Amino acid sequence: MASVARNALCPCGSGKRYKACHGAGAAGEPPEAPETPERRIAPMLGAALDAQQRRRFDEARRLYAGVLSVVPDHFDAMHMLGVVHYQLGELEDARRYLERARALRSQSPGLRNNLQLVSDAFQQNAIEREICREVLPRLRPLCAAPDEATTWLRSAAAIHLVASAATLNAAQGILESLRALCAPVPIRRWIDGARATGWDVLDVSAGELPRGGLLLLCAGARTVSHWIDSAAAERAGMLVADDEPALIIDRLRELSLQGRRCAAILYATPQLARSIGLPGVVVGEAVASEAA
Amino acid sequence: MTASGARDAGEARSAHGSPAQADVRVIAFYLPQFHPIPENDAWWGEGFTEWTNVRKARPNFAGHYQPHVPGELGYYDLRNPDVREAQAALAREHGIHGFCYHYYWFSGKRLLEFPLDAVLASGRPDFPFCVCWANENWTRRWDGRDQEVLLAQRYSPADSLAFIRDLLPVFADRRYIRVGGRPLLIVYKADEIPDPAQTIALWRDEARRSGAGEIYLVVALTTLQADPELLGFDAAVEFPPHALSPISVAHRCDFTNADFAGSVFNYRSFVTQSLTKRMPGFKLFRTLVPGWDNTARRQDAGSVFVGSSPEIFGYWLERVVMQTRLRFEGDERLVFINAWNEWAEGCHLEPDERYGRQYLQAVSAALAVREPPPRPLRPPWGAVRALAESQAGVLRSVRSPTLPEPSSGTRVSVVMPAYNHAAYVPAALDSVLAQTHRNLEIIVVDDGSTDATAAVLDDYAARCRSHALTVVHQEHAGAHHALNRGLALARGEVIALINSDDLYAPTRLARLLEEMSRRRSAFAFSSTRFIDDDGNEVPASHADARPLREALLEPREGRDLLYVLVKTNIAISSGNFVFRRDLLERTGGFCSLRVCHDWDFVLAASRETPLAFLDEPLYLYRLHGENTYSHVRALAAFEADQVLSRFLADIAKHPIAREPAELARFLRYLRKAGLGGHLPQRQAAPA
Repeated sequence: MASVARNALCPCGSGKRYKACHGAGAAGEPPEAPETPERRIAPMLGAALDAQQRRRFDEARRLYAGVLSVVPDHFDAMHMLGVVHYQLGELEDARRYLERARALRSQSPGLRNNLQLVSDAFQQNAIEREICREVLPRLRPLCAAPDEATTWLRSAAAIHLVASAATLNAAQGILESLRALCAPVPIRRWIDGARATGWDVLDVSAGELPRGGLLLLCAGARTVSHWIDSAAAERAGMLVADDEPALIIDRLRELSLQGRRCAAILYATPQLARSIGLPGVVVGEAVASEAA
Repeated sequence: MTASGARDAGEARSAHGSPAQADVRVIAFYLPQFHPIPENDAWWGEGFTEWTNVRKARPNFAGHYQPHVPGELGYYDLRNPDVREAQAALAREHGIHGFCYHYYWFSGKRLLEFPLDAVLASGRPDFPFCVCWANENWTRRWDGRDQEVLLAQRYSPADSLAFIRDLLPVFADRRYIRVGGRPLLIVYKADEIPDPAQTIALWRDEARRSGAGEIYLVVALTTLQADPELLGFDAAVEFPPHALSPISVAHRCDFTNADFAGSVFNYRSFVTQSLTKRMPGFKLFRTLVPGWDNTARRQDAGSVFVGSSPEIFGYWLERVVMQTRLRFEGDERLVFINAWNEWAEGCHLEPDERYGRQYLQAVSAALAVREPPPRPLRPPWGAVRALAESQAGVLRSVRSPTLPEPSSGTRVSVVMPAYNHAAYVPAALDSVLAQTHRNLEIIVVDDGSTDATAAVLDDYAARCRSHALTVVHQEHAGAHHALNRGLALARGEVIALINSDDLYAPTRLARLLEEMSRRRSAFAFSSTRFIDDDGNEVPASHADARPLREALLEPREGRDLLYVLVKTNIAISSGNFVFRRDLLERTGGFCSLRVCHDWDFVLAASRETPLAFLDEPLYLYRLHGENTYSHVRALAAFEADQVLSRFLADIAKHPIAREPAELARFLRYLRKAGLGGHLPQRQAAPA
């Protein structure tokens, strides 16, 4: 907090300047009138609810968190913050905030109902995951055989990794192993989102696309179907670093549409190769056998 | 026509074949709005057809699959008989039994009637069909909810009579789809009919009077709240996306249309809900959707489902086909697909540019899986007992060093199948050794654990001085097999099971033995407490704990246990079973189902002995990590059908059937609970 400029907007999301909100009294002149916490949070709560109803969930989350930083035991903010997390599909966080809200006021029927929704969603997700796992073997025809995938890696004229910044940072070790498997060409990293510095940044939405060579999707929580067809890659594949059968189905489907009949799967670990079960190359293993 | 006469006759036979020949029939709903009509010209503009909307759809978010562009059949016109032939040929080639034409009839005025009338008049295509009365008002919006009604339904008695009279010649067509010889008629929205029961009675009377005989009436589950059978329908049919509550994934979309105010849902939550759905208290045919997206009709306010793929659709259909084989006999083995060609709703089996024939191929592949759904039998006691002598699959056995003097009272064999629970096994065994009932032998069957379980067990046995403890290590063969080996080795008069990650309460065996003797029962179980990793009780709201807690309320209200047990295995797990060893001579051992072998066993036991349920939380069931029931819920739902279809097939031999009145009451309850499809036809008929 100390680094926030006094005239900047307060990080709590209240929409006020820092000096008039959480920075009040920190330095300089005291605020004109002593504000009660209730008076301070009322507009924030209104703005939060408004953002939530307009489906601007990230903004709503910031605003509710702001309310809680002023009045930590505010039932409605706690409750609604849980609901926003639910709407964002972040079930663990949703449950955490709703349980905290329940500790504040256990009798609220609305809260009970929302806890139930979260609980049902957990259960549904678990079943969906299991169903997707059973479906996975049906995608076998869309996957390149391991030796074919290895050949592609060796012979690629260029390799483009497509990932979010977070994924790319988390997958550093794997990328180093990958280098040993590939042709001696520079691996260019295209990042969906501009928050990672030091990488080539690709603004897919502005039509910037990697061209030619082998396109490797990392993780793949986001759809690529809107640009993959115009990327003009010679080959495409995906790096599997998480045990998420549904995402693998979605991305394999996109990679294999319209002529790209096969996709190379690279597994980060042998465990993943086993639990996903589709043909592919284990990055670490292949490196080890290379060394031997 | 003449050249293909022989083929026609053959197909007619298979289409209307006897129940023994007919397997599951897949029927696809069929939209006729692919040709211009004067009304649409007036309402929507010259030359309007469904394609008008389909062509103009645009993506609302990154990756949004729009527009759907037709594949090999192109932007067809249904006035062309070649198109209708090509559709039927494509459907037949992929195993689809017939089309269900939407039938638009407004107080005698028909719309979009050309394709059906041409099919009737020409006798072509030679492909089975039936009709669904799309009895919504024709409105300015496309889903019947809007104010501006272009063409309204009236539902007068004269209308009802005219409606059925118009259809009687259609029913008479030799291609018309029948169930048990009765023409199949579907009503889309029964609750829009002011007095559906009266209307239906009138239809039936008129059909009989005219010599057409009985009709088979099915209501679509769209907005209907009432019990279809009370209204006079023979059955209901699902009509997704109606009546499902999919999960929104809008937060994961990058919207490109700033005006979009519609919804984006997860298609796979359809599949999940469908495959785990508890059947309602009436006969219900399942319907699948290959996808759903009505952006073409409502660009800024549509509902879009993302995440469909031919593989997932094919898996869903395969499961539903097998389920239908278990639940229904003969002509009632029907599965519906919404739809053949609802292009503006993004649900079509017809080929598009993106997937080609892949959804159709998924249909034929699902139907090609012809093995009957497994209904594994419990092995007879003789076969189970032989496992005691057989060393096949046994790796080694370890015994506790000293055998203590046998104490007084009933000798109980505690049998524990163990698999990869190194962290929990010692606590489980501690809770057995701590029983107030002392006359025990303990048999642990390690089912080829790959963690430290084997070493932990051997160490435990080596240090056990108070009880006779045997550990048998076998090659991994599944929970049911480990259980059966344990049963074979048990020598006690009574056998008590326990899971290797659960706990007994100290008085468990003493209390249950008392209860068995008090109630002269050979099988007992208690209520359960759910605990977490650390042994703390989990909150009542836990997704796994809740349904069981709810089910347990019923026996507390004094109902016969079987009423609850046919719906929910309130014993939860085989670990909660305590039974006399000689019961096994009549039930046999555990069958090879992965999840429901315990439920199968307790239902079998209910045939042989009164069940003693003690409502005290003497069994502590651990919910941890992967050991949740949720992740096998879809499999469990499927196995449940297997268990029930066998158990209910000879319900007449169950003790509950001794009194005819009691049996009748139970059958009524089963049908109400949506289990009637499992009953033999004789018993399923309304009393």
